[in-house]
Amino acid sequence: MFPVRLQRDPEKTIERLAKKEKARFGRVERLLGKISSDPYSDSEVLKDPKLKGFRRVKEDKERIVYQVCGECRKNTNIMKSKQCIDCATFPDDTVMVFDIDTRSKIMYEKKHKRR
Amino acid sequence: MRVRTRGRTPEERLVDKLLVLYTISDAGSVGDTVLQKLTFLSANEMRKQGDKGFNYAYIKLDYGPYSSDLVNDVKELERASVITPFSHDVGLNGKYILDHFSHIFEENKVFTEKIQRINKKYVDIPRDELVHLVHEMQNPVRTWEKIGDTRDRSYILKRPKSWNEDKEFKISESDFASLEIYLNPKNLHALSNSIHSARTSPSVSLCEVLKRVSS
Repeated sequence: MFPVRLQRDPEKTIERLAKKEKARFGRVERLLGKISSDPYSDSEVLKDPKLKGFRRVKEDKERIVYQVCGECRKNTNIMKSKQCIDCATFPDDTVMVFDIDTRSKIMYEKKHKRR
Repeated sequence: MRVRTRGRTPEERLVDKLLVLYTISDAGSVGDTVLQKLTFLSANEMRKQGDKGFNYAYIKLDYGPYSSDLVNDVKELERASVITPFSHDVGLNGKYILDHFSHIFEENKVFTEKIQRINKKYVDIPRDELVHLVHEMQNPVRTWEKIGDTRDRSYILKRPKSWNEDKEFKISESDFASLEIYLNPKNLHALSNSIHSARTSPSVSLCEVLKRVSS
């Protein structure tokens, strides 16, 4: 199992989903479990130069963008200032989640705006 | 009873945004009305030959063919700095996409060549004249009447329902994954904020968060 850590935005997304959208929370939880057991399979490596090293996994309407710490460190183009503030604390097999995107976000906002 | 038509898939939305970006980069700075007409004319050309490029549906309004999906896409492209607001020229991220994903347009020449032909023919025509020209064209759906004579709010061009697989705009999964971030302002801002906050705030373990939300 690969340890998974979350940046602030995905942390808030999970808290919001757990309160308001239990079904989507379940799906995101399963997807995170999948990443934790194997972050390399079934994921798309973003090849674009600005997004180099990021991986994206999707299932139905959920999308998660993450990096495996070991892969990020091997990318010698990254200057020290671009590393995570707690980079030195984690081993290479740590998975860092940067974004959790659920299509429901838009529907949730629309639904609540109508009322 | 009002019948709901199916919405565009995420893949279709992305292809539409890419083709709008290409249209603007080829035509130069264009306003909203001209952009609506140019994309309509390109989409019509593609549909005639069974090519699945643009996925917009157009209805007829005062200024001719109109797609609300195109309006929403343009707003998202502006927010993502892919195109500039008002004058609709290529923005900073748009230039980046055109440079680094040019292979996508090369591989889909069938579509880009049609857009180039339409732009070459119509882009220099003044707006009101272009609207009049389009009004005089045959309605692709109600072929016995002109677009200008069509009842307001009725369909002029519908979304393609069936097509050959080899006549579809093709993007690889990895390109799609990157472009989904660049072409969607919400995704782009979310990822940029996250990368920025990674440099200033420590991360949290997933186990801790799950324990907290389940208690």
